[in-house]
Amino acid sequence: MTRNSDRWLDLLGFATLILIIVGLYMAFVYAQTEVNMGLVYRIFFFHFGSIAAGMFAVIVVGIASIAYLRTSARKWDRVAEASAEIGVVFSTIGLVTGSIWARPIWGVWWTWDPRLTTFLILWLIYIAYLMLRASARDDPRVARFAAVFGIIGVANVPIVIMSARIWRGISPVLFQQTAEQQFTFGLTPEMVQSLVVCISAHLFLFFYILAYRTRLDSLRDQLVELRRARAK
Amino acid sequence: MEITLKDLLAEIRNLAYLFYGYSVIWVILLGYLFMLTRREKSLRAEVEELKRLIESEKSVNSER
Repeated sequence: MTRNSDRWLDLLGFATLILIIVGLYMAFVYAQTEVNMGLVYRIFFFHFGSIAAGMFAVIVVGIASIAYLRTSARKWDRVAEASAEIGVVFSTIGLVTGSIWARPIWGVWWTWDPRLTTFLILWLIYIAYLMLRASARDDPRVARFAAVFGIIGVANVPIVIMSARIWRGISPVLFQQTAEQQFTFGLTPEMVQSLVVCISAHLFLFFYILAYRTRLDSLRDQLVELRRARAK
Repeated sequence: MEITLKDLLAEIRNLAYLFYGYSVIWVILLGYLFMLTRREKSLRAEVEELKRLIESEKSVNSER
């Protein structure tokens, strides 16, 4: 790992930290309290940020998987695996915080609402992906099969996004059309700004952890090479 | 606007859920980052150990 890339990683980490601090300030202070839900709605900013980062990670898995199938370059396989792992972490946060938010608002910890159900399916697909990778990490055939699995998993992303519109459940539709045919988030401008900052913070955090995690995979590859050299 | 005892209790309960929600975020995230740093530490130690072993084996072979 070069000093230059270490410096970029540190810079990315620092930018991520600043965005998180600003996001927290905006979520707790800048955005107004929602009239119907009260203080608990402030979970929404980091809940949605985690969901957004989780879905973005799934898309990165899909792109990296396609690149791996086309080029057979190990680096794309590393990116796909790392992305899947980070995506599962963010999605888990999204599921748990969603449940905690739902309890006081809907009166239940969980409901088989279309959006929640499709998101849970997406989470399970990526748990299965990671279990597949763990079974034979260095086998190229497993890597190719996992790449196909990753691409199929990406197909679930538009289903999750559109589920609240297609099958009306109790999950709110975030992007709505007003009577004047204008599209709106159904939030105040301050809430929208806070949401944008929180989503950006989560995306930066995703990239930071991805860079760090792929660095670990490079170390692992170095270890495997050293063991082979010693065996000779 | 009148605030009843019921409203106050509801807000206290909301605050508790808000606290649990953000606690979960930090526990999971920091737990994962901690796990990654431990993995890095262990990998680096193994790499250094193997490099040291290979070097010592090379010097033993060259002395022969």
